[in-house]
Amino acid sequence: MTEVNRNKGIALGIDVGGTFTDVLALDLKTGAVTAAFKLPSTPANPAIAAIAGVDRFASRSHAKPARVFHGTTVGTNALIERRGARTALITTKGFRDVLALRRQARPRLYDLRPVVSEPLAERPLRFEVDERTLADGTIEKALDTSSIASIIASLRAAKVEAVAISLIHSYANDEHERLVESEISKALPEVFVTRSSDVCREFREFERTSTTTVNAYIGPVVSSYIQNLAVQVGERGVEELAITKSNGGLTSPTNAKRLPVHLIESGPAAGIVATAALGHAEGIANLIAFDMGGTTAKAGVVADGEPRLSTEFYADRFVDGRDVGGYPILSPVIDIIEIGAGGGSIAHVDRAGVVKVGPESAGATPGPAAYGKGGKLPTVTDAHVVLGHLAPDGFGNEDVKLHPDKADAAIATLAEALGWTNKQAAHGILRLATANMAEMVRLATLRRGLDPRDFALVAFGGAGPLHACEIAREVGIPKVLVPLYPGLFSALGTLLGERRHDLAQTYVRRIVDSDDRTIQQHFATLLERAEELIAAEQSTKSAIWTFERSIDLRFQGQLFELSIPIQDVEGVSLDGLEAQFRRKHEQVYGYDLELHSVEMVNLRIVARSQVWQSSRLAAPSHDERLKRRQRQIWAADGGNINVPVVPRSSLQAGETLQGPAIVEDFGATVRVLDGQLVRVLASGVLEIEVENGGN
Amino acid sequence: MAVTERGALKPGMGSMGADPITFEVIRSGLYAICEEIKSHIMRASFSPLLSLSADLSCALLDRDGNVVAQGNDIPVHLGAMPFSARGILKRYPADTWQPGDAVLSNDPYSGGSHLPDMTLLSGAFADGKLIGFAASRVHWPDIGGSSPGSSAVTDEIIKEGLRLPPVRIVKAGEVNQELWSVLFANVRVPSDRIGDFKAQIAGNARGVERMEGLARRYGADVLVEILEATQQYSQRLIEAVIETIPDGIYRAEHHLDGDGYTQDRGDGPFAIAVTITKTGKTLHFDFTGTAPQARGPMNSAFSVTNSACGYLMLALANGEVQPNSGAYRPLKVTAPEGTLVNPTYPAPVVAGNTEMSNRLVDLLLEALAPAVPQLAIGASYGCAGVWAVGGVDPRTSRRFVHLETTGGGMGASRDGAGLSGHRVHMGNTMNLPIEAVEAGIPIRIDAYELIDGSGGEGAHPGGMGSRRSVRALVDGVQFSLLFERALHPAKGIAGGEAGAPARFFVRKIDGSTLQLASKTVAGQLNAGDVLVMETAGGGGWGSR
Repeated sequence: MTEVNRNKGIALGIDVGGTFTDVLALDLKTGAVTAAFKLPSTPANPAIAAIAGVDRFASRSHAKPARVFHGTTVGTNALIERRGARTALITTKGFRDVLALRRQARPRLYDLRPVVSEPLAERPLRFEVDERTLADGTIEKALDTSSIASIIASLRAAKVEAVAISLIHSYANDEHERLVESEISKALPEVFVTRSSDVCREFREFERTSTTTVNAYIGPVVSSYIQNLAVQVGERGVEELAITKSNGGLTSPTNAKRLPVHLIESGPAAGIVATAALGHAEGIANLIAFDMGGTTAKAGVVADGEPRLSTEFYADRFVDGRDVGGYPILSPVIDIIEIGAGGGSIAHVDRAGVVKVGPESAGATPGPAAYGKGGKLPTVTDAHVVLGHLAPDGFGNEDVKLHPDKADAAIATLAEALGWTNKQAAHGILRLATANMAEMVRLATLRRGLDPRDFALVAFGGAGPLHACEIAREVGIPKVLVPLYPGLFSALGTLLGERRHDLAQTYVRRIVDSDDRTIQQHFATLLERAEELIAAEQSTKSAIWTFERSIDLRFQGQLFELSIPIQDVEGVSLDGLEAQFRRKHEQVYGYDLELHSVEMVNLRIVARSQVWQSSRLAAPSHDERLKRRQRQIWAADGGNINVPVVPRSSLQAGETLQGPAIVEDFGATVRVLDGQLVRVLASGVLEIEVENGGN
Repeated sequence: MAVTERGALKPGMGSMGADPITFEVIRSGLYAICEEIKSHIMRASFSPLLSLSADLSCALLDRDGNVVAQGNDIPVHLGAMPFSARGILKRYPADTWQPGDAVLSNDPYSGGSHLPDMTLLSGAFADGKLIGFAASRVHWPDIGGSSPGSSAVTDEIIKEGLRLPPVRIVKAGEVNQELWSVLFANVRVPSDRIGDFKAQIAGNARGVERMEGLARRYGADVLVEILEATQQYSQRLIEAVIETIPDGIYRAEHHLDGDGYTQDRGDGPFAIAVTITKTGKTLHFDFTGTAPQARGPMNSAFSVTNSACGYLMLALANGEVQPNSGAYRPLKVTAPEGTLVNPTYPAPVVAGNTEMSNRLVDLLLEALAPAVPQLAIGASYGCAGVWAVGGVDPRTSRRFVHLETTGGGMGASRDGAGLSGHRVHMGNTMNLPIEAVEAGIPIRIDAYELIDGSGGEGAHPGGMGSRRSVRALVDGVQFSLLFERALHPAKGIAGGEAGAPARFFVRKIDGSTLQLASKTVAGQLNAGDVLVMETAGGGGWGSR
């Protein structure tokens, strides 16, 4: 096991999507991608496709992979489809309804029958214990342990499968939660028991209880999935299985089973990790990841080389496109914005005669009309087919053949309603889709205080490279990058992740009321908690872990924090910290408030360990035999023009290509606009200079 | 933009040639700008009410002060925005604006809703010509007056805080320092308020910048044309909804609990009455028959009364029509002067915005329910449930103030049970985490829970009210309550029962109990006393 951290052997990245399971094999020694393929997903048991991926790789390449890195949505799906465990909640007396009361705000206004995400623990399964801990950790009322026995009897009678324990102020003192946990675990060893002080030691009782309850609800399902997968890959000689988390990092099956709530947003996270790695390899610090598939588009940001994280998110917030509030989860997650705009998004004319695109989607079935699988409604993909952007023989994917006649018929339904030609209607659809996605990119940057002109846009997903150049022009982003394997970029991301744990401790205190020693003690405890997780990682003996500490600070009374890194915990100085905070506040918000005290809110530690020492993929060899063609596309003014259609693997490093042009890749098509210039970098990445028309 | 007989926007028919795609690109961009202003303000503001509860609303307006686009914000703010804008434009007509100007106002007698809601209007220009405005309405946690939080029972608006008629607080980009100093000399914790206000000014500036960007990109003429077309668009969608209501005359009358001075058990001085006349594409809300204005603050400024009517229409459209002045054009509101729904100076109004506005919605729902099955919703807990505590923490000698709203039961409908313990209808501010409250001030929350059996019975039960028990840890904690429905429970509908009434009392440390009215001013708690607030349950739907 000790050699696992060395650059040796083959690692398989397996990313499970709704339609396809993507598999990418990376030779850790050479950085060469030795296999890349897609298998149909097996939603009933996603492990079937994942294991089939391992077997297919082994049989074709006559090599066994040393490691399997896996992104799974099993927990997410169990939550969304309400197939989780029968879950009970134990709270402090007076607070059993914390999940139902939420933050008392409705997710939708102007809705006389608002629907709000139901608590995952039903009211009869919400129990109270008589105890009270205070904000500073003092115990005001000792726990009456005799009351636990009757709760255990009720849990047993109700055949509860998972228990979440979340007591008031337990982030400051976990003594009572531990007591309750140990009693229940002792009495009900087969039940999945989890407590808030283990899942997230942060204040705000609704959010913390919600996080803990989700952990309980999906715990049994995720545990058995991972257990099963670990056994099966083990039987195939794989030395290590690692699971992708919402923070983009990897973790061991043991830790994943204990904290499944940390996996909920892992799906989209991998693409951002791959974006950061691309930036690292190319020496670009600021990138916007733009991922567009069949039903949704996503945007995330890598700033100063690091994926931007957010400290909380809402799971299962949208049901049938309707905001129902969702389940808040306090766990670092890669900050991603997702909108209902994809290749399958349907265009329609609303009651007042205005054209809309999405959020309704034709999905995987029937899919766009052009797929010939029974779809009749005009979609974004159909618009591309009508305008000649997509080759009729599909995107290098044997399963998909395009039917231009069916796309034409679908677009015609919209064109007739508008009194336009098909080509005009198709351009209209693309303009609207672009406007929606441009707004998403603005949301990811401008509304988070970032200037998109300082970024490069990285396009991936099946439809990302078709739209990226237009979005970049609209938003004012000077450069687009199309990575290698844009259609399997998330699978690549699972391979490029690091092992990572993010831990936090709430400590609300004014700087003037605290002292250096207390801070050091808190960090020491955080470090112990991190070491405990690290001990449960595989192959840690030779792994090098780094620890980054930071403190979230704010002006007293303010509700948003700024994070200040702590370089040297031994020499930590609260005075210096305050000065640093004031400087940063001035930088970010443009002013300092001399009369305000500064207070700490959360102390954080990030433990990380590189899996693969490099992030540079070997450039693929080019293939001169591949033919370049010309194809007619229809421009916005109604005229048609001939553009070069270039197979990506025919391009050589250093080569340039003037837009308009189309580059066809496995699983994705790159659309380069008039006035844009493509340069093939030494790595094989396409760099496109965007003529700036944005505002 | 031209409109065909079928009401559809046809391409290329606008005089400036804005096609439906450009229209939709700009129209959705306008709404995105509102969200951008909002996130800008929230990111930099101080007050929990702002940065956590999001008690603010942002809008873009045309140069006549009509709202063109507004975020999906607090309903009571939405309908009131055009009134504030008109009040501001009356004092500062469009031709007196120059780039970099911003005007501030909170005057309920000049289009405002209540004093804590501060509206800031900033002009957007193209080629030196005014094309429209970015606006934000922000709830300031304190605007002076007789009690911390500026949300107490008093008998004249002067005691409610600083009343600011429209004033040009920023002129050509320069803050008017003299005005600034007066403003912040009259509010509590001025340093926080300054932080909030700077965030508000910066947020508006962002909105102006993006609006001017649209004018550069598409041409000012095209933009101005689309500002109007956007309103016509929402108007048409709302008219289509109104047309589904059968023509007729619909009535209802309710009574308020009281105004903090006098209680009304159903025969008293606080009747609210409405007659709704539906003809073709218009709805006329006539509040004739409503009682004269109250001595206490339950009076609803005219802009707030309009907001309640507008809310009903947008709700009838299931929130699918994006709000702007166009959506309100089919509505006509008659509210006799000097009454609870259109008070005259110097009537106090602070609770008209928070509490009365929800009672108005219940009234309108009951009136229209016979005509529109969709509106057959049980009555709600009928308020925002504002509670405030304040005092001095002897352990630190620091003053503290805490103000929060409280959720309750919503009425049930044919589709299901009412929502429990949530804000309803006109307001939507969040509660504050107990773990945050207790870390900051000397109170302990002993319970925050739903009240068993408080929802009105029915085939679908009404939502449950919430109970919050607040224990004082030190002597001399002052409190005030602004709630409703202790005397008039939320009625059920279609055979459903009424919800449980609200209850308020203090459990003294000596074991005695002090019952309280739903509006209580200058209450006092000593260490160990527990204030219990129980909001009303919602009305049930259908017989069981």
